[in-house]
Amino acid sequence: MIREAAISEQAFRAELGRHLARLWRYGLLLSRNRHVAEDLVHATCVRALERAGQYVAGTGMERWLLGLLHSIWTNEVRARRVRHEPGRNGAEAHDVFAAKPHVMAAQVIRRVDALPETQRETVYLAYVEGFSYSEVAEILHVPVATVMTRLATARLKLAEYPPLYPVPTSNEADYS
Amino acid sequence: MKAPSDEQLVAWLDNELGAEQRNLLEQAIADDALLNLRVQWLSRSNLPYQNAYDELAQQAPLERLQARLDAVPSPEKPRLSRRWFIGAAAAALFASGVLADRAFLGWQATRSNHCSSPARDAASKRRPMSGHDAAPEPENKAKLLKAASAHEQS
Repeated sequence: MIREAAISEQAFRAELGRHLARLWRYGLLLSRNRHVAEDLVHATCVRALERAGQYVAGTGMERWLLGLLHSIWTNEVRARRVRHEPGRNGAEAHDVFAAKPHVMAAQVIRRVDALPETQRETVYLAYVEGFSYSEVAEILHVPVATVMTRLATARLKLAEYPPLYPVPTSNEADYS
Repeated sequence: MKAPSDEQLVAWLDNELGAEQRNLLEQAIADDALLNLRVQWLSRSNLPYQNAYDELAQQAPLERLQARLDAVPSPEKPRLSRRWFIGAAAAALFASGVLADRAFLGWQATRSNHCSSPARDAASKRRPMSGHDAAPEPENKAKLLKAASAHEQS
């Protein structure tokens, strides 16, 4: 009965609606597939509404939602995901970003995308979403030491790339 | 200070160290040219992550995601009706238990009045006849209740 007292469903849905783009972006980072990303966001919304009672208003809904999406992906989707060919997914993901590429953004995203999943999601939560180490650890259900190891390993790989080249291109002109 | 690990250097780059550790590490980096180079190497991975992914977020199919969210039925209703169902089932179980108990006691009473068993005869011989004799003794009633509820649950 705490559920009803915590936050009205209407307010909860409105708040949920404000996080859709960021959830989708995280779903895309994990799955590297637009359709899967969309389905992941949907599943996260369903789960969030079911568990609305567990959410304490004002405690960072985004973090809570990202944690839900992450566990749906890890425990319920990835483990059973057999029908997709991994090779095709990577290519598709790159097509997604190439749709209207900003040269710098596309380079960054491709480099992050080339990391193994555990490093990719850790880099994303720490450096894109800007969560602290302990918040990342909470979302991913791992110890802070694991977050640190993943970030150090990922950074060493990312350091191998040549510096980003901010060359203006015709595409960039389209963007401004 | 022992040679700091890459994890510690990265934590320093990410401003995740406490004041004391940070000071120690900064001193070590200042004193050790190789360590300084290692930090510079690691910081090559400082990229404009947020800008890149903010552009990506603009590609999110927001209208469709919102429409799908709006189409998710309110979970309150099914939960409520499920609660009601469980409540109703529990009430029905209780009511039928009471009825069965009454029926059984009634049947037992009739049986003891009309066709006395040898055990019953023995009991009636031990005790003076009275109007209350037809009612089962307390321990018997407890047993009967138990039997009735066990019967209900099975």
